[in-house]
Amino acid sequence: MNGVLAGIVIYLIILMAIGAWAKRYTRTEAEYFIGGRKVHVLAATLSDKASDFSGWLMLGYPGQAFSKGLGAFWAGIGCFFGTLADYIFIGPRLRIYAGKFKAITVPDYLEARLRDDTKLIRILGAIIILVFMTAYVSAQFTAGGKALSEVFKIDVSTGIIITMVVVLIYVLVGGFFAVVWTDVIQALFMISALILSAVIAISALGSLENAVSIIESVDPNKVHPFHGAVGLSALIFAIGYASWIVGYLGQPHIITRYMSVDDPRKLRRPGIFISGIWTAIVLICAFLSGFVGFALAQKGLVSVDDPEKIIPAIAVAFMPSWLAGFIIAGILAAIMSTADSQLLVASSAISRDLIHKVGGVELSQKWMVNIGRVFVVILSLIACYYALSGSKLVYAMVATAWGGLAVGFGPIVTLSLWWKRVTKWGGIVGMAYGLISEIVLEAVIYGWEFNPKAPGVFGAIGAVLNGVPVFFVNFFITMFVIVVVSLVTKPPKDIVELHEKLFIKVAREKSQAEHVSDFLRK
Amino acid sequence: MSYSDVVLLLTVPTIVGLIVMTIYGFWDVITGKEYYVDEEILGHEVVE
Repeated sequence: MNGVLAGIVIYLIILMAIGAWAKRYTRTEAEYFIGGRKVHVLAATLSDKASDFSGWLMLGYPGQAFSKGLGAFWAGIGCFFGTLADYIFIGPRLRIYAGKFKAITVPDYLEARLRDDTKLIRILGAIIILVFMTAYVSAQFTAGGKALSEVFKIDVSTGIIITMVVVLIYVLVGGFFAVVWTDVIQALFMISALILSAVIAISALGSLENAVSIIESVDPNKVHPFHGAVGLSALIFAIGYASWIVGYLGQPHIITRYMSVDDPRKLRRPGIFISGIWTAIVLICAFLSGFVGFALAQKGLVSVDDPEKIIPAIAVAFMPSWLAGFIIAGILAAIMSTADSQLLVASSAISRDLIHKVGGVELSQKWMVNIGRVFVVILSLIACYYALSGSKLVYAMVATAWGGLAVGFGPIVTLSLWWKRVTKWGGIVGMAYGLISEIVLEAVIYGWEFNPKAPGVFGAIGAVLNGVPVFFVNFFITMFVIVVVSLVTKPPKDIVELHEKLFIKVAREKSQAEHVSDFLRK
Repeated sequence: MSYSDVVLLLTVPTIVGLIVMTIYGFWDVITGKEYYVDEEILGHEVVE
């Protein structure tokens, strides 16, 4: 236990030290919320992934692999291709617009891109972020509290408060730079912990083939790619998991990383390679930990009361305590690296979007940063209160958060980057529809996926689309709404011209390495 | 058969993803063209 404690304490001290170092880069709103658009591509891209993958990667996903078997890997496929889709469809173009408009937040960008003088897009964007992100942060605090409680046998509430205090300190002091550089450390912790966990799990059984034989003898569906489903059911099963792809296009805490990178061209190379390779490795290792963990449990080599605790169980069963502490630190890293990014984005929605831009409050940069800090504290306390109270409303919002952000922002961000004809009214109607429909459909009528149990006509629709995630269908409905409204309204001519001009491609400048290579060849 | 199912599901999408990543990552080299970027687009925040 002392080894575990020492490992975690060292990890927490590293986070605090980065927060203190980053304080020098919090002089303006742009620095505090987006790193002054000059964040190193390594930090921006690893922070993108560390912010994306929460406790779900270390607990929830291995738990699904444990319970559902091979079919759960479709979720990994969805996350992997969602990551690539973000770089292909969102990253470079969003960064170009962010630089052109000097945008700090996603609503900042949308308001400038769609020339919205009504401020409705900014208000809607801020509401979507606040409603879903605050709930999301509280879920991360709860997960952190549970992880600490499991290891140190402390009260969950105490664990929640410790998680909040640690995250709060470095976000408060160091802002965006602290968040991205702590995310880099956390991403390295996560990938090392998962590789270690998967290798140790497979080694304990001799080979992956042995593990598959054991699993198949217990439940053949667990080694079937569609969990035993065939035909249309198999397709719906795969879509159910892989639908995460479209969700990636609208998560503000993820796409803000692209707005922060020092050069849009670096998102293409090396950006997509850093994120893509990291993602592929962690998803395969997290899956294997859960999947092989089931075989370990069948052999009696690990004892698991909850499938989501399979990675901590492997750590405790097969590793010395100091190394188990490293794995637990990896779990905390996954949780904190998501909470810090979400907290900063939620704070920017109030201080930058509502107070500064909608309210028209103009103070010195120093004071705008301090207002941002005040709201980091307030939102942390609200999220902590929600986490401690275990409110049912918050659970409903957390379950809706991924879909709500995906539908609220994904369609309008994607269309605004690729279609010159999109208009502010298309954006306003689409975002309002996305916000309201996701809350009604997911939090009230269906839950995460369509099902026939819903009342009236919704039950009939649910029977047809049974098992398909609600946000996946609603994403395309929202996109359709935006297209229709944009076609019956007209965008300003200069905005259309700017869009055309901004993305004209020019002859590529050779890199220094290529110049050297040309010189040597001559 | 089951072992090969496991290996195929883990490797095929990963390889497809790596190919997509490589084509996209080097698309500017393949086509010889890239987005125009200048100081205004870079938009680095300069603090006095």
